[in-house]
Amino acid sequence: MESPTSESPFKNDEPVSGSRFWIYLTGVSALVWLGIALWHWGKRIQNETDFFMLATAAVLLGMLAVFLFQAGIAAGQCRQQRNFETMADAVRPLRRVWAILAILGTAGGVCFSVWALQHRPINDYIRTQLQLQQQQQLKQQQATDKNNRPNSL
Amino acid sequence: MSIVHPLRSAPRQALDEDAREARSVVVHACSVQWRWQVGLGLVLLTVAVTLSWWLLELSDRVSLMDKAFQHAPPLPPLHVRYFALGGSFLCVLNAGLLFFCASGLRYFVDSRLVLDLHAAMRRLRWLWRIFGMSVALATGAVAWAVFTGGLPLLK
Repeated sequence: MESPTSESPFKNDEPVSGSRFWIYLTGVSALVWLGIALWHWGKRIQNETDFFMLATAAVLLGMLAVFLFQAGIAAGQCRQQRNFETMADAVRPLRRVWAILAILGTAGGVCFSVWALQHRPINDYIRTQLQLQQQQQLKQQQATDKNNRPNSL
Repeated sequence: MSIVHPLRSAPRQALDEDAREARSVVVHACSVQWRWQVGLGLVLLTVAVTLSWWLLELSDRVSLMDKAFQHAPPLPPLHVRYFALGGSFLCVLNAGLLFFCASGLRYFVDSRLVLDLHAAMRRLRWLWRIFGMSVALATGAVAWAVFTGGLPLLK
């Protein structure tokens, strides 16, 4: 029996394997994120909370990289086999990839929002200090002007 | 037999295989997948808003510090705004693609036809293309910030 894809006018109509390179690229990016997290944040651990957060991030990123490479391998097999069953099998590992990406995105988004909100008041502080500095300079200027004014009496 | 596919405007040649129903295992995998994709899309929209707000605050801080201490900032405020614009654009683009891909998978889950899986996979390929590039760009930006001293700005 001839393969359905060999008769198809869309011979290259086999979309999953086309994603293989991009899946691997995302996997390599996840490994780079893991390396940066361990190297940069690892040096700045101050307490148990920091360690727990870093460990969670490292585990999630490691799992993401593993799942992405598994999905990439499945997509590669899809290119060799070129039938529906293999394509369907290549779709299944992606489920875990999207799940862990959504979890990582949510966790990262929450951490980032909390951190950004905590660091927001610095702008107000700088602005207040600048205003105080300007007021002080203005007062000094007025005092100097007053002293230099010729006495009319 | 030539049919017009509901997910695409161009007609394609339907194969016998395309007209049959897909295995329930695959349908279930896609059913789970489109839900996670919608979730990730919503997260990316939230990140787009938070990131642009925070980077605009950061550019404001850089200008203020420039004014206060009279020294050139390590990164000009305009560049920080470009980062905000680029980051938000990538987040929104990926969120849009995730919703687009999720709708294709959902269509396949409803119809269970192999033909619809092909169309959904074509959307998935585009998603991977853009998503892979975006993740690589974000990784490059973070690596640059960490290794070249852009990060002191964030403290």
